[in-house]
Amino acid sequence: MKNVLRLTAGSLILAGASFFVMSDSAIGYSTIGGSLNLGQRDFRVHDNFSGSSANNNSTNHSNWPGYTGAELSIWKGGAEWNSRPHGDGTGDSSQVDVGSGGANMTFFWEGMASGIGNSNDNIVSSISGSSGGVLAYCETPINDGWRIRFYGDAWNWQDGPGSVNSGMDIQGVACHELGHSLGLGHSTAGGSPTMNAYISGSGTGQRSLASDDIAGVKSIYSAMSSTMPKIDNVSVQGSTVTITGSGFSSSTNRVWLMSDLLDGGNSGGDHATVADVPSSNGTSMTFQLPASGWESGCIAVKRTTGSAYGDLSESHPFDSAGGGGGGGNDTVTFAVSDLTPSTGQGLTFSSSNAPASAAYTIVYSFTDRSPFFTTYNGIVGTGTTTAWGTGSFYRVVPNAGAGRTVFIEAQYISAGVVYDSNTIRLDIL
Amino acid sequence: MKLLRWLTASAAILLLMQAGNACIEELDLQKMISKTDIAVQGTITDVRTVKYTPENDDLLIYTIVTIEGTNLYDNSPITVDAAFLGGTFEGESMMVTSMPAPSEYRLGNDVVVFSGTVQGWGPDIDRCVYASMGGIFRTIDSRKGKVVLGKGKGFAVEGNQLVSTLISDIAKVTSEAR
Repeated sequence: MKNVLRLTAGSLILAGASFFVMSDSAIGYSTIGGSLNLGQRDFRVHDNFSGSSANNNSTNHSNWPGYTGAELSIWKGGAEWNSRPHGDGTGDSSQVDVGSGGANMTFFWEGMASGIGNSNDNIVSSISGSSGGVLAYCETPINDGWRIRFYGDAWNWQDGPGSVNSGMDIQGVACHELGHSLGLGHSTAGGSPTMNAYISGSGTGQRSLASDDIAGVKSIYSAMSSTMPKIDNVSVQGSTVTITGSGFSSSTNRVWLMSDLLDGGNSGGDHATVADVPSSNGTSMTFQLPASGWESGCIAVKRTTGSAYGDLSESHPFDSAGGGGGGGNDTVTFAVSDLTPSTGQGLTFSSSNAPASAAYTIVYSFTDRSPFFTTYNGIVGTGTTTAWGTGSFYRVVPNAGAGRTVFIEAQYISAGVVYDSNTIRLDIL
Repeated sequence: MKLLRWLTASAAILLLMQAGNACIEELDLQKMISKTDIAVQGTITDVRTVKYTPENDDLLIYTIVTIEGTNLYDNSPITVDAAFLGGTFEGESMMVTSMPAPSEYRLGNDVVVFSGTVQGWGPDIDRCVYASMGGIFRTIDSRKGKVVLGKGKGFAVEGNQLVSTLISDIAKVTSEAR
């Protein structure tokens, strides 16, 4: 009887252990707890990779406008997790479709950052020094953001975009780390999924999600909602944009554009929003691009003002040189004498590296942030740069600005070409 | 007694499942040996944290574990201070996906740690737990001897094995390298 009891107890324990093992091999993925809400879907890159091979891809692709090198690799690494293919899904010869997550999860590319940010600013960058054998890591917890660091000096990082014969693939490792950022741990499934505990070979295999990775992201964010907004096409004529797709709200769509605020903190991760765009048929909407505050790169539609994960569409390529000069890269350096002024205080805005003798306009970014200079119709002032491409403009902060935060940038026109500055943030006391 | 053995086996299986979240290269034993100069098998006698801010970067927190035992590479007694990124220093935490699981580096744990030298980790650190969670393995006592718990495919110690077997494997790899 004793032996029977021992055998039974042993079998039960073995069965329990086997259950764990079988569960692992059947499911594989694991989670670290938490998820990214819709306010934390942004991701940016501070491109401080030191090795030349990390930034030697200079080939543009229409699905990924404006970015090459390590930035493009990391953008694609994040977009692979998205609910639906990014654009037509092409842009990487190693993948069928970039954007195969199939869950209510989409990262929103916000381009470059000027610094590594804090541990919850959602910025990917490189860190110097010995790696101690680690390729990259993600700082958690995830719920209020994350930060990813690649050991830039310790490994021979490659930006692809094709096969990587020597060194480590930025895109594959980025895809893995961004999987951590959205809440996944490591997978024990066979077949080398992206969330495998270690990177095999160069890591290009980690660029594409395996079925276990997809099951993992769905377990956190649920499978893609049938009512999720979907973008099939985006067309631009001048400053008029038409989006066609499905699942749009009749009146409360919010269009997300990439912010052109370049910073190393949290603000640069805020998208520029065009609010309350109607869609009479749920499949098409048209809106006017804001005068400033946005850049080409990508676009998304959020159906309502709610916070359900299924309310946000996948991201879609967006490339426009129009729109009043808001698009394009920031080529002019714009600065202000005090970033935390008081009302009544005089501010001097200065420009450098601008076109010579060019007319410029200083404007507010983020039209949904209620510019406080309402009497100026969104324009702070105008002027002309010097023959050396510099400019200086003086303005007193009005009383109406007390306690407000505003974003201001400058646009310069030379020979019909619009040049854009960085955006500066003013926290008015 | 048999039940105890079963529980030990179950614990070992559970330990296998709680590896941390590193992003590391694939490291079989041969590769691990080529990248490290110490493999210490012993007991963790101290766990502490330090903070360090590299030039033009943000604050980093490192956990340093002291292991007293034997260097498996030359069978000499050794005490090693080896660090990995992440930890909590005076209430401030830096939790990173490359850290070992807390249960792996607890004070008093018997472990095998593969270690190599590092630069740029601040004045208190000159040596790391190589590959962070990929370089530390728990050991447990069994009737047949001390067992090192493996972490699965792609790790230097793939499956559970006697420490004596690991020592033999290390010697074999080392002699082949010569």
